[in-house]
Amino acid sequence: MARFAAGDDAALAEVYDLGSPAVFTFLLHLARDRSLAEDLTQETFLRIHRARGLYRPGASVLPWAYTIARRLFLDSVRSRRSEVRQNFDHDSEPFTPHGGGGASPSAEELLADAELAQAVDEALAKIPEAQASAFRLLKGEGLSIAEVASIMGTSKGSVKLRAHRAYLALRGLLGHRFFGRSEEGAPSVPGAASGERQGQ
Amino acid sequence: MSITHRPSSGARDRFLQAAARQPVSRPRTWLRRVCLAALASMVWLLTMLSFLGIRRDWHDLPAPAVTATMVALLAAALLASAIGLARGRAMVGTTTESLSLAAWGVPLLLLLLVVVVDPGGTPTAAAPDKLVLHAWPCGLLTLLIALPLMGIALLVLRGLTLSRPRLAGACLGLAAATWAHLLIRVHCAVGGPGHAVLGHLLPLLPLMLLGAWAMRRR
Repeated sequence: MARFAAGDDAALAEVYDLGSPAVFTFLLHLARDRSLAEDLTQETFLRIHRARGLYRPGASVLPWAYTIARRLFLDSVRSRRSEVRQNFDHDSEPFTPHGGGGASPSAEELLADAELAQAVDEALAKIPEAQASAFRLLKGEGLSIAEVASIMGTSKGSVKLRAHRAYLALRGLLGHRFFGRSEEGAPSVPGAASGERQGQ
Repeated sequence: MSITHRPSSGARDRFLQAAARQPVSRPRTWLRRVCLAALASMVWLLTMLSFLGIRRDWHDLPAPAVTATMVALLAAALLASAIGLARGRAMVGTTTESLSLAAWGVPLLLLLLVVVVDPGGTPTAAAPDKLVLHAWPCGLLTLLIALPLMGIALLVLRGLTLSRPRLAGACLGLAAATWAHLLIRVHCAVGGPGHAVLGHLLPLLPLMLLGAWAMRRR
């Protein structure tokens, strides 16, 4: 990013390749529409590209990108509120796990992961955007509370509260489906389990 | 939850083509903008000061009160400017806590200052019916001085996506109003807390609202 900010045009593709998967995944979970997520990802990186002369050396790029992405998503929701949720196709590619290289998990594990990811996505779509985003950024993207607070424009305490409420909501929404199954021997839900701990 | 998706290669190509057509800010744009903004603001304030002039009773005022007022106003103006213009570690502006502290703390500090410490002049408190009459020219002048300052500050933040744009805008309005307050305090010889609150301090409210409105889409 430092080379890019200093005017190295060749670094643009590198910045996009490094940052776009995280931003695209975040937007895909928010928008639940692949083409919209691609458009918003493109606009996010175009804004970063235009503002690269304003970049502060050493600053974190991803929180900045997430902030722009989230703002663009909220703007798009305002302009086409009724369409966003309806465009989601449960069987579409985004919610199928991609097979990576290296040690490959078993088919059963992959299936369980995919099922869990889809269930969590569906549950998060039912709770307020602010809570779902706080949860995704903290648990899905692994950002710190301070970074999530920066992205969402709120205090650290508020981020903790939103994530905790998301945990509780997920537990309520997924509890019957997964806790019931885990008693029968199916895999448990790590997020819901930690939510249970936090809820005490 | 940890599954990562990638945009299609077609989206990547479209992005690179679109980026090639975009105007790009030059390296160190931020530094240049801040320096130019500081210079322009200084020129504007000095021009207005030379135009308005220093109050007639300046040398008769109690030195400790004048010093305390000027130092406090300068500190408040610098603090609000720094917080309003900062990009933050994650390039998304100052933290919400800092912005809220500035937006609430600085006006309270200024209120305390004009009520308790502010050096007096010809008091208008004895004639409450003339309080507003004396105060509105100062209020108007404060707005006139502050508006260009706020415009300059907004230009500095052009192109940045902030996490709390409205709050940052309010902070910039506050900073501009505080700089204007500093100048008016040097110029205006009318004393009394009532006049200071109405004429010098109150204009910060519309300026904060205007700043928040101007930044709503960032």
